[in-house]
Amino acid sequence: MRADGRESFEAWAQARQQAMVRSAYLLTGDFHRAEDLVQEALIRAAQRWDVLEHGNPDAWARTVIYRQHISWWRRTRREWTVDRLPEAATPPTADSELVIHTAFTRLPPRQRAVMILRYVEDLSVADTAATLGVTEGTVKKQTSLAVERLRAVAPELEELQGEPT
Amino acid sequence: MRLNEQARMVELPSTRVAEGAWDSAVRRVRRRRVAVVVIAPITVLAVVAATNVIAHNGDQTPPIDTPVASTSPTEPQIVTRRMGMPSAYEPQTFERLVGETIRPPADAIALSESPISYAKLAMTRGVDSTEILVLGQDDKWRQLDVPLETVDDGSGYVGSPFRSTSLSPDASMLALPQRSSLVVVDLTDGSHRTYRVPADYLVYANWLSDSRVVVASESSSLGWEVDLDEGSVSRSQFGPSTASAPDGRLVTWGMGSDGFSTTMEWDNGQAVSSDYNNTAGFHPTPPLVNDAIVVGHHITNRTGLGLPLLQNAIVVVDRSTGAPLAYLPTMRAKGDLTTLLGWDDGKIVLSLVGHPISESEYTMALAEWDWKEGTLEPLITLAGGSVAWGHGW
Repeated sequence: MRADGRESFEAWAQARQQAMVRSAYLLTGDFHRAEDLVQEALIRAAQRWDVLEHGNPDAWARTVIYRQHISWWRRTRREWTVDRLPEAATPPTADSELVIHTAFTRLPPRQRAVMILRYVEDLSVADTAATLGVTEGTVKKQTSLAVERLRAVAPELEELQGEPT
Repeated sequence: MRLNEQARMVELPSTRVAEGAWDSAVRRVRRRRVAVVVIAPITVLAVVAATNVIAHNGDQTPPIDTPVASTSPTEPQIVTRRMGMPSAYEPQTFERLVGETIRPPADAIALSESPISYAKLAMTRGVDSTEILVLGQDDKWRQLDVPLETVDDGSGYVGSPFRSTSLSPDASMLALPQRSSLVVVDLTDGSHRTYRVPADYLVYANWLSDSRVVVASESSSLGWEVDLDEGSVSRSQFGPSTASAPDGRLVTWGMGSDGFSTTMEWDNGQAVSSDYNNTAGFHPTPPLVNDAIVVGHHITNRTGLGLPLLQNAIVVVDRSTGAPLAYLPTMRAKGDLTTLLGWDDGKIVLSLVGHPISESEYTMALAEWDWKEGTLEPLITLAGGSVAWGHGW
């Protein structure tokens, strides 16, 4: 870590933190968990800033966030807790929030991650696969499964019209 | 309205997670440098101490290898080192891993009546049984209500079509060989489909991806590939010892020409030799593969090669070089029924089979081996025949 990288890192981190936390919140349904994920990603990005500064730190941090969530989820599922709706920082107040909450909490974590990356962060199938560390075929299948599931919950969403892309 | 528009309307508090991230990173780097300086002398002491423990199992203490640095987008730079552990079946270790024994209920609901999103795990009620149960994402058991028969390996051994490799990578399907066909059960709706295969005595079914399965008989090294998307069955260049990596590459864990070494043959023709083979097990099992390492099981003793006497063990090897990174001895006095089930964020999930409870049931202690940290921790203990670990979620 070069000391002279601090300024550029902090400028990038300040500019991106809110968006990262939003995505992480959609992924986890828990604001505090979302902040933990993003903070960890930012610390790791700082450790590699010498390289990331000239690359794509957004993509790199996104990968860390999603994969950290995956590993956290896999660790906690050992405790055999019954599925429950994730806690939200505040209860949904608007119809749109309700749709998001209802839609995403009905999805298994992988399908949720795929939907967020594809339709909230607008990543391609290839970039989604790279972020999650899975094949493109898996992304397509998970998208298809998620869309089917969401149609029952939020049929008005534009992405659910027609076949998934 | 589009999802991303909906998402932007979700109100969240302002975050300040960026504050202090740089300083936290600096502190971590400093801590790691101190740890590396300290580890060297401690490692020497640990190896000396481990020699006394391993000696009970007839193993020799491995030499300390040069640390190998590995990096990935998800982890800070870490230094892995080859490490030995006491056998997983050493009494003190095994007793710690066995917890409250869980047995699926006798009246588990039929899968067709209550499909699941994915299986946390799947298992048979007994050895050689066709009664297959899955534990769903809701922690409830379902029993497969698909007609299945036991499979004959052609030599007279009749057993269950279910194996540790039966669950698909996303844990939403089961692949179950029948004598001349493959039955694929979709756990998400309880349906099943049968694919005719021009072969006899099929006993192995191994997932190459979420949509491709290799089926094979006991005597064949190559199998038949069933493509679920295409609905096609074709001759495969792969067999039951083939596994897929997250990047889609396929590797076959085979035997080297010297009769001992392992050849990891990748589907692009690349072959990497390793000093550990995978032939001493009760049945060929595919290795576990990720972007950097390959994990194999049932390694025979090696002598005269300057390597430690390992007996049976689970070995982690570097995917590119074949160099060993860590090993966990698994040899039991009465045979080794350890099964590699999968992994989870760098930790290997194993099934360690204890003594039989009855004619058809064993205690299966599922444990998680963190090969970098050198820890072996219990996950769950089951009573049944065999188990497959669900990776999907």
